[in-house]
Amino acid sequence: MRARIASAFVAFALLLGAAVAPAGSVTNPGVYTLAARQITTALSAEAQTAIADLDGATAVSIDVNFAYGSGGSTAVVVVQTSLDGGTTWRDIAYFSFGTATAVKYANVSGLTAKATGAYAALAADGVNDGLLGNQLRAVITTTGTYANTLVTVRASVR
Amino acid sequence: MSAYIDALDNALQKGEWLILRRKVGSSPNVQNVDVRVRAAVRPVKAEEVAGAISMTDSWAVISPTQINEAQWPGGQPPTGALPRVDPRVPRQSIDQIIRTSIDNRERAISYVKPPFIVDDEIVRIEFTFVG
Repeated sequence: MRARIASAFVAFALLLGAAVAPAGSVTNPGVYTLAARQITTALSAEAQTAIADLDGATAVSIDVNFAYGSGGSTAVVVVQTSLDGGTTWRDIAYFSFGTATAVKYANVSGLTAKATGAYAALAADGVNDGLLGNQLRAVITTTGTYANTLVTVRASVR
Repeated sequence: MSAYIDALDNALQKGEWLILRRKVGSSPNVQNVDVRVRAAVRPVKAEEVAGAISMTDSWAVISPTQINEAQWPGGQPPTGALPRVDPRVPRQSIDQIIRTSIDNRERAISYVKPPFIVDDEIVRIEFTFVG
């Protein structure tokens, strides 16, 4: 009888374990659209609504597609992350564009940095590696008036 | 998650997969923002034919489950003025449907009913689409 109870308990524990994501895995892996919008008049650090519930994310590949139409001058897409539920945002990748169609990408890992580092907002193409919270958003800044120009920011979270 | 959504998700297991597509931009710079949703689809009934809905349209019901999981359609620019239209709700004459079990043709959404909301949560979305 005791053996039966024990085996039932083990079976239940295994069932429970199978239903719970293993420790260290991202809660909602997948490809998310951080922004997909046309660019017309100048934008001053326009923050798009955030993608949330990315607990456990260890890396993110970011793809920024700047489809140029005409006009405009400069466009900057900064991808940011938050570690405090969206109160404070930190730059993790910076992508700059001008008056030509271009695709830029970056990979940011939450596992790479092993040393402390002083945070600095990004001001040129590059990444702040090793900094990854459970929310992501895109911030778009443009100068000049673009026409028929589209920016799409997608993030593969894993 | 709402029990209403659970019940709908269970019922939709006997349905089919659709791709709900929102196009952004204008030609030639157009991007698709897609989400794969579980749906029940049937031809419209004669008594439903009115306004933008024609006899050759199809009626579909989807649950918000896949839309919420994908956080579709993703990051949106701030609009400022309220009330803000929930971007998760399909948009008539803007969004499109692909019935992947039949073909890869884009079918325009012809009519969207106001979503069913229980306890401030969207629990059911119904719309019609062309073809």
